[in-house]
Amino acid sequence: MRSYKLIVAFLVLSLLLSSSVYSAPVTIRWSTWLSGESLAEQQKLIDMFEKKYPDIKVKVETTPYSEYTAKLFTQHAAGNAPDVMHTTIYFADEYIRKGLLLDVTKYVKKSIDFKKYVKFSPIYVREGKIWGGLETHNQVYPLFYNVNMFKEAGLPTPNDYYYIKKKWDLQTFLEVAKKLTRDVNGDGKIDVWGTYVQSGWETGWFPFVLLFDGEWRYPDGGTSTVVDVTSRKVTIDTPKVVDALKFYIGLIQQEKVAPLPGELAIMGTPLEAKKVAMMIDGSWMMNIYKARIKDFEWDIAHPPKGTVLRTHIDAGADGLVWAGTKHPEEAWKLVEFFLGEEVQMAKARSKLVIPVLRSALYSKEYLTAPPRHIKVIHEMIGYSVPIKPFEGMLEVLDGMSAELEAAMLGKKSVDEAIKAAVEVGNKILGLKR
Amino acid sequence: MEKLRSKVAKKEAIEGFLFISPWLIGFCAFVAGPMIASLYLSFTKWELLDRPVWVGFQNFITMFFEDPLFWKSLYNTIYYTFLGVPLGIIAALSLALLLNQDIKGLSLYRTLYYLPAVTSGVATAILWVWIFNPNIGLLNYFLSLLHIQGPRWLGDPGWAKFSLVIMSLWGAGGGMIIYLAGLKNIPIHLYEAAKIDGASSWQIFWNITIPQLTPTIFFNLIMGLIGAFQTFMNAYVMTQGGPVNSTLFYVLYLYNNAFQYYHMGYASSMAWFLFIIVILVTLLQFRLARRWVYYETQR
Repeated sequence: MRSYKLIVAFLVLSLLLSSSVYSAPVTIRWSTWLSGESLAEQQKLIDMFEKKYPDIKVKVETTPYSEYTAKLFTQHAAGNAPDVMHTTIYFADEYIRKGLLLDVTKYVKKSIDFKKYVKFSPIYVREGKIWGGLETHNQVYPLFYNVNMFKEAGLPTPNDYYYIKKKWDLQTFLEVAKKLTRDVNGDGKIDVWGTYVQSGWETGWFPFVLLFDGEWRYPDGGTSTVVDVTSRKVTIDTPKVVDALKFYIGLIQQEKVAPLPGELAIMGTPLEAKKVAMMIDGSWMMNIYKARIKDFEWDIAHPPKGTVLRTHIDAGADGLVWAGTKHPEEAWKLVEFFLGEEVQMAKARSKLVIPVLRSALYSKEYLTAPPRHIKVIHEMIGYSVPIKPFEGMLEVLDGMSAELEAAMLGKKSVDEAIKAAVEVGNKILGLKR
Repeated sequence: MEKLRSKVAKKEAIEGFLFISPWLIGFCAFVAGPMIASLYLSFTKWELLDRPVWVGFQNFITMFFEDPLFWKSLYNTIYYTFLGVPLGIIAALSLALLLNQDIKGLSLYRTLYYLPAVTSGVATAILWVWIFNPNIGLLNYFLSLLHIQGPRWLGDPGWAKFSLVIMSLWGAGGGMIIYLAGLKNIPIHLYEAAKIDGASSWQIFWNITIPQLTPTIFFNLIMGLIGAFQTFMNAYVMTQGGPVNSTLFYVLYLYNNAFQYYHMGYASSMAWFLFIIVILVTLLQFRLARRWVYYETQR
């Protein structure tokens, strides 16, 4: 009997000892909309994280972009959201307002050296607290152009105009676009255009509004695009915005240097299909063009100066910590990892996004062509204005963009389209739903 | 004896319910439950994360009197339905009549015409974007052979809806199969008697084929109407509601409200309003059917 008790005591003791030495790894969940190659790249980084922190395992959960936020909201409501969530700026604002994100101020203060980073967007900071994390990358909206087309036409490139001639403004842009708009095969129809204007707001008309100094600004900085957030009225009919829209739509209708929306029959973008010489687009296109364009040289340049030289900057985050996580320390470690050297350098190499860590942003890898004038990105960050979303922003902008499309297609005058956009925008802002 | 019989009946009923319980549970959990929930939600303001707040008829007031896109989306859907469904019936019936002939390679033709009905919707949508392309699209190429300058189809707000109607005819093979089954069911002696009486082909078609096919036409009409009111995917993939909201169909706008802008209560109100419209239109069709649908068993 005595020996039996001794054996039991021994077993209990050894169990206790072993559990103190070995503890099972904590599994945290990370959600993303990435797929295909981008997901494979991100998975490599997750593998690196798991190697670095062997006591933390990361379960990757993917959902298509169009269903991503709805699923997160449902998971949050059910108390089962992922510990860390991949986010765009437009989602992040929504998440903060709806209480999805953890107050990570103490973690940020403990582990982030702000001097090492470019200025963080104000989006994740509310009432003096930092929610969920910080952005891990940015996007700006440069002018992409086909270098070969400029050479063949014997024209200086936009970078020549900007850096050498010191005159790269909307007037010059228009003159150059006219020279580059051509009927190449002589069938009486234009088949290469000087430029291309997109019909949405983000890469379409809003970059022009900024160049005309027409955006609405928060008193403490940042833009809400063309909505006065205090009075909740759209400002798309203010004189500067009207000038911007007239210029932007005029590129199609009056100047005929850009094709109608949807007119081109192409795979991919008009630039890579060699249908247009230059167009404003998101900086993420650098990654796409780097991989796809092999038969001509492409580059980026500053957008042409209007009354001002300005672009918008969008902050995105690979991961923000969920308010209901049971593993805040481990979740924060993943966010910290996304802000760290390994991930930031991977971003520098891919050029899909703009790293926020200065050492990555100015690294040799990021500066390696293509594009040759990558420094444009650094300079654009300097004069960029952060987007600060507000409730219903995408809905209002989608509604107004649809009305402006009528003018782009020549079905209405610009003034009529703006009038309709004001009406629709204000109605949407005022809807009780 | 009576008691024993009722006991057996009761036992059989329980067994019956047990046999259908997987379906019953599925129906309650995934159809009836969400429907009842959405009926409640249609009277609330609910943005997924907050608690639903009871707002009475506010969503319906907003829908009918304030929302600029609600009526637009309803108009687009009605246009699509009342143009697309009759054209679809004509196309499917014509195909069925053609393929009801005794010709060589009939099975091949039937397969070919039915194939689009089983092809992936997204793949079809992408194919049609090319067909409709104003510059290099197949449609405008054929028109150019006739010296006709084709429109900009999906790129023109005046043509985009009609383009999607044309595209909907691509799936006429589905209806064709049902019409073929209906045609095969028409007793051959009716045709023989008509021929002996000296009826022309047109008279035979109009006085025998069509009346005999009316139940099939009625079935396709009802299914077509319900389907057309819920049209979504082609606009979602091909036009996203554009240009200038000309293809913003009701269900696409409902989807945007629910899953892009998170107005779940409002989207539920829209869903219930659509349900009422579809019920009313279907009931109306059943009422009208008494005048033109001929059932052989109802003499």
